[in-house]
Amino acid sequence: MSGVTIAATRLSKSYVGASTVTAVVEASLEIQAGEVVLISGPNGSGKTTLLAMLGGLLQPSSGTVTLDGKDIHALPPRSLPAFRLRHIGFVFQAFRLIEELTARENVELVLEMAGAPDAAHRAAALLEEAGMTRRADRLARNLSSGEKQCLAIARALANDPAVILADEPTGSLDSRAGELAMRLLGAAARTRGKAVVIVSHDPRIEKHAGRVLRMVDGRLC
Amino acid sequence: MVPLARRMLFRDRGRLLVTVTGLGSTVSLILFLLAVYDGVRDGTTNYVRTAVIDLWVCQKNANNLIKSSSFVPASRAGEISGIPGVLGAAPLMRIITRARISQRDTSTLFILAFDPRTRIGEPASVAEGTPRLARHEIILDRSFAQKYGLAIGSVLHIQETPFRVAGISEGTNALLAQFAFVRIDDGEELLGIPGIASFILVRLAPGANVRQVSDAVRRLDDRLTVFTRDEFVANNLAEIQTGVLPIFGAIIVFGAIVCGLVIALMLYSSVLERREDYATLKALGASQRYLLRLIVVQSIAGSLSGFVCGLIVTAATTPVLLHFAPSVTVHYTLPAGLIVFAGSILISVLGAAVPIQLLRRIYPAEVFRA
Repeated sequence: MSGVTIAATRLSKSYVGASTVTAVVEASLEIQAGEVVLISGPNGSGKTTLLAMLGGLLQPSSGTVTLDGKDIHALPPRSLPAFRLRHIGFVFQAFRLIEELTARENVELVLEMAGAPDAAHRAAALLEEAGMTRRADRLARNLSSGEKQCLAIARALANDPAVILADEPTGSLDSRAGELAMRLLGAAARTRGKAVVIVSHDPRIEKHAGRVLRMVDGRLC
Repeated sequence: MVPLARRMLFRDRGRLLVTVTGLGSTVSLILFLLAVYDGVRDGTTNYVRTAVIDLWVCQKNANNLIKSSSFVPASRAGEISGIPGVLGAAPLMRIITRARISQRDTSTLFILAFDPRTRIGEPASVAEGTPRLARHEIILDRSFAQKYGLAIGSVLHIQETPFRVAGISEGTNALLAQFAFVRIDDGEELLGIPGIASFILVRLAPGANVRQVSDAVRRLDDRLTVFTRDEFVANNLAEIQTGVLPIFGAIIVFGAIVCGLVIALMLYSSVLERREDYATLKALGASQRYLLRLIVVQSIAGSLSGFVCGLIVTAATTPVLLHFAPSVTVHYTLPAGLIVFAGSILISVLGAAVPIQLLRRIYPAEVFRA
């Protein structure tokens, strides 16, 4: 479980308009497999922008993001979604589940999109690990916030990605549910060897992180 | 397979219901128009197709029964009868007029007066009563009879002359007018000009050479033209197609456009509402192809639901429409149904184009919006 999984090199993002706003300034970082890294900082410091660029959701103005040695922003735009699907799992503050699908279907969906065989069995195993077996057939909209985040983590792990990117994963949760979500993310790093990157300004998360990076005004400290 | 498209489609049931009802009504209108068109086509050509007539002799430049004027001397029938290969020939007179029932004018009748002696030109589609007419007897189209409450034995007046209904025919409704049949002597009386016919109808002997007989007729009088039954049917069809088809076609095209817009609007507003879900799918790694399929499946499912709704609406409303408009004959046919079905699929795919454009403008990074 060693070796650099994801690395950012001098990553910058500027929004050019009437006045140019620079959200991230030459951020560089390396994250190992099995490591949990917390990027903390105040609102507007550029954490989420950095995370979006690490996940290939936002094109950087300059710099590179390499995942398992591949520069993800150099991939052809048509192949980037498939790359994300297989190599990156996302966890969002607002969960971003498909509310009309059951918990099981939410996990199966990403497995099916990746053409995974045996999606039903794999989804059941992931839900069991997340402690969601009894809620598997409930519609996502009928789950509690804590259950929704557990389900989102199970979904993030579905295609066995190398990296999990979590944006304020405890932001919508009470402390008990937040603790549970963090334990699941920590377990993903420890037992599955995932590189977990969390951006948050929640100080409760620090104890779960192996490394904490501060971000202020778009710069990593 | 995760039923994502179905769940998305059924999320807003009110919108789906309005959409399906709108599509169903339009599909029903299109099915009804096609059925009316088929009815008109059949009603216009049925007599020509089924009456035992091999050749139609007309005045030069006249080529159909519906919309061309043809005047030929009735006496030509006797001369044509003498041509080798001709089994018999008789005049047919066409009179376009109205009747009066209880001091009320009816809609227009296409009265065809045939020779009862030779029975050439006698309608083959008499469903009730008899085709063998006595003086001042008439065969009416069923929808005309229904419209005016006439039955066998009823009396109507044509130009002050009373005619007793002796037969009811079917497949003789040309929508704008219905066919009626009287004897040629009654026809002459109505027209008031003796010795004039509209057409000479010819029956050929078995094995007769059509070309030779046609040439012989033309040699007899070069102001005459001759058509075989198939040619005359085709001429009548062409007349209907140029007269009615553009109107029906325009309505059907507008209907199809409305269907496409309804589908596009439903999916556009659905994608707009579910923007975050589509952004999430993109962020998670859904391919463009997967998302397009998601939209197109919803579009096709909505459209097919509209088609089924249209079938139900058509089945429910046709008897009511025909009750209030008995002069309309409708022929629902499988090919027309299949055309509408295929059109529904095509329209749904085209209708998906607008929401697909919106989908392209949704960025996966939108998932981070609170």
